[in-house]
Amino acid sequence: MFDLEKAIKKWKKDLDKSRILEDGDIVELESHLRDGISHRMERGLEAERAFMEASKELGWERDLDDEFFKSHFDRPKGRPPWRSPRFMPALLWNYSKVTLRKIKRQKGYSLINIAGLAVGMACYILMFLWVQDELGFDGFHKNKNTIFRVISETQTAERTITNARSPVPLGPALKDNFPEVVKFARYQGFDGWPVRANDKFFINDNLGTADPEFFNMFTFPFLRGDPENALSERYSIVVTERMARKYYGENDPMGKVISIGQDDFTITGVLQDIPENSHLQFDCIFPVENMETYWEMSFKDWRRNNFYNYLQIQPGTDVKELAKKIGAVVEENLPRSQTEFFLQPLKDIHLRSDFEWDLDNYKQGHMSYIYIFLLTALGILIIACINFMNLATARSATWAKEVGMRKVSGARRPDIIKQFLGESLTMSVVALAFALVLVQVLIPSVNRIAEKELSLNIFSNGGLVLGLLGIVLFTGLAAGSYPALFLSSFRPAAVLRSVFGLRMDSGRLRRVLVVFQFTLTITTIICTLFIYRQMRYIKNKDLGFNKDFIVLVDDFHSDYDVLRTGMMQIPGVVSVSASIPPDRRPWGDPGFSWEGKSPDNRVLLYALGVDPDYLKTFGIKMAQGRFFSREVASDATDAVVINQTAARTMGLENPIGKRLKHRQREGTIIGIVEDFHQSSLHNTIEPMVLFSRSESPNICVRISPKDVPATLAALKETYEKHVTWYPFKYRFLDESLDANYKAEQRIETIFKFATLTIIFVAVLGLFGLASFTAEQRTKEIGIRKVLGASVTGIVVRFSKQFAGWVLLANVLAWPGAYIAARFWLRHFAYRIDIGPAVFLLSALLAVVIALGTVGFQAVRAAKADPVESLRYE
Amino acid sequence: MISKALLAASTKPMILSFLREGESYGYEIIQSIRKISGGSIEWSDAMLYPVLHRMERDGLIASEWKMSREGRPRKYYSITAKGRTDLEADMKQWMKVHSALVQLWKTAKASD
Repeated sequence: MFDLEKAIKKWKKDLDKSRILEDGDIVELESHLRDGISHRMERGLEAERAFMEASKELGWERDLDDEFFKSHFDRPKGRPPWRSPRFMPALLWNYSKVTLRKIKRQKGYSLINIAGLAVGMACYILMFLWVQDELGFDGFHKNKNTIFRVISETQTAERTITNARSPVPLGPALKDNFPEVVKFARYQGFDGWPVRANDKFFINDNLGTADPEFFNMFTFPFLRGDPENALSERYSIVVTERMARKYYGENDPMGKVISIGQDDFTITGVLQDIPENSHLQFDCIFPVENMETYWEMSFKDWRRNNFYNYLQIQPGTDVKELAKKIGAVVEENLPRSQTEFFLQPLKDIHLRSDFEWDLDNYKQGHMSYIYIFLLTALGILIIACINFMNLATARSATWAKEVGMRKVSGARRPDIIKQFLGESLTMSVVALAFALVLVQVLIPSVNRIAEKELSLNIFSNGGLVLGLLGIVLFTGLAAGSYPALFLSSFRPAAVLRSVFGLRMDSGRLRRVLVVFQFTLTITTIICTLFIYRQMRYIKNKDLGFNKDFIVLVDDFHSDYDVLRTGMMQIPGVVSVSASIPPDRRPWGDPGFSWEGKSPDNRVLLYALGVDPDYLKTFGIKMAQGRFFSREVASDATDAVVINQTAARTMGLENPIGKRLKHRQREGTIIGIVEDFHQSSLHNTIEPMVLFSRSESPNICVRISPKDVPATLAALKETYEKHVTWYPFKYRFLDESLDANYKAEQRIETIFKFATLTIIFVAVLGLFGLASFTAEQRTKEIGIRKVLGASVTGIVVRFSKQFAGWVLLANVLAWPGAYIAARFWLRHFAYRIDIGPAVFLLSALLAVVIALGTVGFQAVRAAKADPVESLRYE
Repeated sequence: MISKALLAASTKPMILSFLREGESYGYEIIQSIRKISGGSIEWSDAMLYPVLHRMERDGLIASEWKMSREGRPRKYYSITAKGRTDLEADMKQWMKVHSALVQLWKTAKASD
C-alpha cells in the first residue's frame, strides 16, 4: 500500500543531502509539493500517482540544487563548485599516467590480461577476415542480384534428390518462352583432358564450357578481347592469364590455337585470373555446343542434366512464379518427372548450397560453419574479457585506496567509472596492437589451412576498420564495465580507514564467471573430441574393400589388354583392373527393370562398370553366387552382379538367375557381393548394379607394399611405352578417399587450434586468479601450518573449491555440447555413437587442467614458511 | 510557447504585477499565471523559488510564514514599496516596447 507521508518523508530526506537548500527552503518546497498533491487528488488522482506527478514537476534534487545555487551567485554556467565539470583535461593526463604506471607495476597481471585479450582479439580478427571473405563470394559480378541458378528436386521412392544441374534444353526454352528471362548460360567444368598448345602438353587444366552469353552475364574482366562475342564462334576459346602464361610465356596468345582432344580452338580473349572468391573456377572457357559431340549426346534430350543452368532475369520478377513456370515447361517435355524446380540466387550459391550434385572443383562453404566459427571466436574473446573482469575485481583491494583518494578529492562515481573504463579501453587498444602483430604472423598458416587468400589490409578494407573499432569498444566496455561499477561503489571513509575493514563482496560473481568460462572451454573440448573421434572412425572404418596400396592411373582409350599384360609383368604389381574405383558416387537411375519388379517400385539403382579383376584388386568379398570371369564368354555381355543392399531393395527372394534390364543392356544376375562403401561415409550404401566393362577412365593397380617407388617407376615406363599421347598420371586410392573429407579435416584442424587457444586463455585467467587467492590467503595458510596442517591438507583445501567449479561447469557444458555434436555428426550416414566416454574424458581433462593450474599455486603457497608470512602479525 | 529568453525577462514584472493584487504563495503564483496566460506560460517549479528568493534579497518583495487552512506552514510573499517603483519602471519600458511593436506590425500589415 502506498503511504503518502512516508513517500514525502523520503523525498525530504533526499533534499537534506543538498548542500545549498536551507531548512526554510525545504519547508517551502514541501508545502509546494503538498499543494500540488492535494490539487491533483481533488481532480481525482490516486495518491501515489499524484505524488509521482507533483514531485516530478518539482524536479530532482540535483536540478533544485543548481537552480537555487544560481539565485545566490551570478554564475553564467550555473555549475556549483562541488559539482565536477564534464571534462577536465588535466585529469586525462593523470589517468593515462596512472594507467601506464599500473601496467608497469603489476607486470604479471598486465601480461595475463593483455596476452589473453590479444589472443582473443587475434582469433576474432582472423574469423572476421574469413567470414568477410565467405560472405563476399561472387560479390564482384555486376548482375549479382539478377542471376539465378536452376535447382531441381526429384522425388524418388525413398528420398529427395537435389541437383544443381537441370535439363540441357531448359535454358534456351526459357529464354524463348518467358520475357522475364533476359539471358541464360549453361556451364559445366571438368578436368583431366589433354590440352596441347605451343608444343606444350598438360592435362591438369580446369576446362569450362559455357553458352556465348556467359561473359555478358558474369563479370570476369577481360585483359584482351571482347566479352560481347568472345564465344560466338564454335571453335573459340577464352583463357585466363595464368593459362596463357603457362603455354605461351610472355608471348601474345591472342589468335593462337589450343588443341583440346581432337579439336583446335582459337584464343579470342584473355581473362584476369579468376578470383579465389568465385564459385566458378576455370582456366579456360569454350562454347558449350562442342559438348554435343564430346559427350555423344543430343542437346534436345530433356532427360540429360549435364549443365548448370544460370538465368539472368528482369529485376522485380517473382522468382517463385518463374520457378513454377519452369516446372510446367519441364513437365510438358518430360512427363511424370516428379521434379520440382527452384531458383537459387547467385549470392547464395557459395554458402547455401546443400545439394547432392554440385560443382566439385571449388570448396563449397556452409552457413553453419560460419555460425560455428563466429561463436568460437566470440567465445574465446569472452573468456579473455572474463579474465580481465575477474582479475580486476579480485585485485580491487589494491585499487581501493586510489578510489578513496579520488573520491575525497572530489571525484564522483561517474568520474571513477569513466576512469576505469578509460583504463580498460587503453588495455584493449594495447591488446589490439599485439593482436594485429599476431594476426600478421599467423595469416600465412591460416591461409594454408583454410585454403584462402586472406590478408590484413587495414587501409583498403573499410569493413575491417569498423570491425576493429567494434572489437576495441566491445572488449574495453565488456571487460571494464563490471570492475568500473564495482570499484566506483567504494565508500571513501570505509576504504581509507583500513584495509581490513573492507568487504570485498565480488566473490560470487567471480565464481559465476569462472564457471561460465569453463563451460565454454569444456564445450569446445567435447566438440573437438567428437570431431577427432569421427575422423579417426572414418580413417579406420572397414569400407568393405582394401584401400591401401592401390594406384589409380588415368587412362584414355589405350589398348587396355596390351597395357594390362605389360603391367602384370612388373614384379611389384599384384593385380590390375579397369574399373570405376570406389572413391566416387555413381549415378542413380530409376530406369532399371527386373523379373518380378513390382510396378510401384521406383528405387534408384546405381550402375558401375567393372571388369573381372575388380574383386581381387579391391579385396571385395562375394556374399552369394560368383563374380565375372574371363572364362565364361557370356559374362562380358550378359551378366550382372549386385550388392546386398540392391538385393534387399529390389525385393527379390532369390535374385540369382533373375534377369535385369537397364536401357539397352541386360543380363542375368550371377552373384551378390558384400556391401562396400562406393562413396564417402556421408552417404549410405546405395543399391548397386555391377556391369562388366573393360574400359574405364582409371586403371586400378594393386601393388605390393614392398619397394613402392620402384613399382611406380616401372608402371610409368610400361605406360609410356604403350600410351604416347597422354602423360602418366596417377594417385593413390587412400589419398583420393581422404579428399572426400577435406572440409571436415579443415574443421578438425581449426577446432584443434581453437581448443588449444581457449584452454590457453582460460588457464591464463585461472592462473591469475589462483595466484591472487594464494597471495590473499598467505596468512591463513601460515596460521593453519602453525596449528599443524600438512602441505597436502592445505593443497586439497585450497583446490577443492576450484575443482567444484570445474565439475559444475562440466555439467552445464554437456547439453550444449551434445546438441552441437549431434548437429555436426548428422552430416555423416556412418558415424560414432555419442557415448558418455567423451563427456567423461573431457571432464577429466578439464579437472586435470584446472587443478594443475591451481595446484601449482597451492603447493607454492602451502610450502611457504609460516615464519615469513606471519612475521608482521 | 514562449521562448526561454522572453520568459526569463518577463518573470520579474509578472510576479510583481501578480503580487500587486495581494499577497500570495509559490504554488498559487504558478497556477494563476498558467491560468491567466491560457497555459502558454509554464514556469518550472524548481525555477520559481530561487527567483522569489532572489527578489526578496533585492528588496522587491517581502515574505512571511503563515499557517494555511490545512494547518501547514506556508510562506506568503507580498510586494514592497521598492517593488512597486520597480514595477512602475518596468511597466513603462514594457509598454514602450509593446507600442513600438504594435506600430511596426500595423505598417507591416498595410504594406502587405
